[in-house]
Amino acid sequence: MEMQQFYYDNKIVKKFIYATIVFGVVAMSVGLLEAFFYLFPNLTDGISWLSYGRLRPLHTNAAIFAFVGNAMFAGIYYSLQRLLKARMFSDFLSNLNFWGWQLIIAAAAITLPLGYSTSKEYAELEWPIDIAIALIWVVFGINMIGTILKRRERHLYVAIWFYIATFVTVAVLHIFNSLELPVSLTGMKSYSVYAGVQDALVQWWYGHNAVAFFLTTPYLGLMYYFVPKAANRPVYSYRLSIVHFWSLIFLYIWAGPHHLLYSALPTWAQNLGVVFSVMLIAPSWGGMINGLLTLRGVWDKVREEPVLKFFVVAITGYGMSTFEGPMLSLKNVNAIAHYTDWIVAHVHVGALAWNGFLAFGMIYWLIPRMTKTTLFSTKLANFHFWIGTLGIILYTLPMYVAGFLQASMWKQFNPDGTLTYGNFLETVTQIMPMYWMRAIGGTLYFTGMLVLVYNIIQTVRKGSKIEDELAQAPELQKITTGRIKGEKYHAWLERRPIQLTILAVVAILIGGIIEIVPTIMIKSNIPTIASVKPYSPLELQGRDLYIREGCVGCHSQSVRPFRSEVERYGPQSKAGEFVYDHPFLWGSKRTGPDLLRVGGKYNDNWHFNHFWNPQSISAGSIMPGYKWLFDNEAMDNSTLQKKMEVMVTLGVPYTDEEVTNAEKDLRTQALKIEESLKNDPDFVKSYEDSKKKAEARGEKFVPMNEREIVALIAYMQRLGTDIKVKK
Amino acid sequence: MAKPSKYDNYHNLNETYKVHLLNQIIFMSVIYLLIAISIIVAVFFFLAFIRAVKTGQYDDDYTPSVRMLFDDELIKKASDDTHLINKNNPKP
Repeated sequence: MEMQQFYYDNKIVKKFIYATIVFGVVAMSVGLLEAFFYLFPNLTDGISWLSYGRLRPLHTNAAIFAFVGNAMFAGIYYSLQRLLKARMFSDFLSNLNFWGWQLIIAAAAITLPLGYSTSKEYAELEWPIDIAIALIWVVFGINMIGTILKRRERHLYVAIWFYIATFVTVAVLHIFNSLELPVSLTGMKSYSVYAGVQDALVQWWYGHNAVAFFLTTPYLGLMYYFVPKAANRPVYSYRLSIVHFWSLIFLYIWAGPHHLLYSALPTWAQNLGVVFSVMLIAPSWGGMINGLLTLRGVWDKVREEPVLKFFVVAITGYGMSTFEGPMLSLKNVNAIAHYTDWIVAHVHVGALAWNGFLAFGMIYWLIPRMTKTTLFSTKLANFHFWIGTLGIILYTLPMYVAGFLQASMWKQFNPDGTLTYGNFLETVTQIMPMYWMRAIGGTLYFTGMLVLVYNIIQTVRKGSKIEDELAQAPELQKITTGRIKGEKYHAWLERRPIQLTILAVVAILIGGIIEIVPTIMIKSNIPTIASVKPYSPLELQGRDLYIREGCVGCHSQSVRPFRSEVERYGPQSKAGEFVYDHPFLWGSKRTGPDLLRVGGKYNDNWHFNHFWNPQSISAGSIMPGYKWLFDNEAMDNSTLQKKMEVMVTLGVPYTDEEVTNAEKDLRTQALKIEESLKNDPDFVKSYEDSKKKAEARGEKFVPMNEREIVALIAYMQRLGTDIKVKK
Repeated sequence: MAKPSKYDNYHNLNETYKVHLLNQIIFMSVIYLLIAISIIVAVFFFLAFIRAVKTGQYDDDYTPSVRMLFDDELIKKASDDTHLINKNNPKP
């Protein structure tokens, strides 16, 4: 047996921690800005790249992939080396992982505000960035598996299983959900290969498992490492952790359809999602109990040690959100909570408490350890803990109340059978105080983050430079056949990372395949409705503007089969209506009303004025104006034919003639809308004024029919009109 | 003469109901298959768990949880008599 000496790579951990802190500040400040948009909708009036719709995906992506993602890498790179008694497989891959990931984040921070978005939640990044993510993720995987292969510790600690499941599942999810056809290799525009119901199912299969395998499993691995380490206590039950692992990864993959309850998704898929979501409470709470009970006998330490305090609230937050998840998956609860701020509260318990606090605890534990000093100020860390906890409470509780209140108002009927709050806006103004409280809660949480930044900077300044740590361990011994004799299969499995990985893949793929393959393979599974036709060229352009501006962040396009919704919006959604929707735009939040049946509800002038200044039509509205759509610039139609050709490839039945005449058809429809706008004398007057102004400035005047707003109006007027029931 | 079925009047139904009916016909048969598969998988995992417990699979469910608490591999100075791995892992 040969003793070997080696260095643990601490510098890569340091880099990931610093990135976590920087992007934590970014993600939270964007989030805070978003919270204030609810109170002052025109805070950044007229600046397209600072508008709510475009910044929302930036906030979610920054929080998930930049803040939580970097913290995940930091924790994995630290714990994996020590659990396996080996340096990371390759320093080059470690650094490629780090710099590649930061470049992806930078690309997201630039492209999302510019409006390059696929509109699929948590997968908004366009195709070139999607490819980069897949490549860097594989780099991370090779580096991890490589380290496991050259390890000096035979047994794979439970945390490592969670890391492996994370790598494998996220790779599968990301690739399948991001299957999209670029319009051109030089442009940043692509269309999802799936349409309508199928796109929705794949998206939420991904979306829910992004929560499961990006925000949960890696963090459970971190919990199983850092909580015992910080408490200096073994995990409460190692047996429970084994059961926890296998049951969690198997059950999670089925739960996606609970995001689509009461939608046009087939009932069986909805029910399947509900059943598995409810079952999920068992492994989730098993994990939570295992984490909390690890602190048995050391609760006195929790009183003094801020790191443990953060962990306790993190694990409690995990327990709360994983109790709430199954409850929200029940159809009767979902009928109330879906589309409301209840869901926003739910995800923020997970994000702020579970992910945020676990990351903070980990940073407060790691930085003094790596700089060989003590924390600059325990008092400040305690202050961060309390202000952060208060922030979480002030954020979530008002959002629960807001969600429940608004849902109740949506469903309220008068004795004569009419809606009590027929005007959607009434249900919004009612919850404004809660939006205020949310913004205050968010401010408190953000303040705590800034305190962390100061505390960590001071700690690093007083400590010594972060150096790689020297360690010594015997090399891994070959196992003699005598020892293996009589060995049980799980012990065998634990020594074999590749087999373990393959089995984990099989477990997660079973769920994915059974749910998705029948939906995609059975040609006849979407009943086609003869009256549903593809979008006209102008409507297609308008739809792409709808995607670009992130309208889907606040408006759903899915009417549930409730009397209150049919009364308010129109006939319920049918699967066959969405067969040409690449991507689907059902949405998941109703900050504003549903738009599925908005076509024909208002005239073109209403939309025109409303997009310019929503408050001029509905006083008190929290929708921002979209003034840049009215700019004196012609809409870019250069890729129109290519877009239609891509749609043809994806199965949308445009004829060759329609593709060739696309621009002519577009112009005809646009001129029609311009004509109808002229019915309003106010429009005619201001239009003539702007013509003169442009002339005075010596600018070329672009007629209204060539501007973007006309395309968006065309799309609005088309929505849901295909199957309007004739009375 | 063929027995009349409930779908005989299909073409007289209105469009909305047709869609609903098609949904029922096409999707409902799949759900039985899915429930069956789900139950089989669930039973399989349940049996595997019972078997694992009965065969003493988790007998040593303590050592790994304690072992990770020790940092005894960390040393202060490199010694000459042990082999420093520096081929793939250069000294920083």
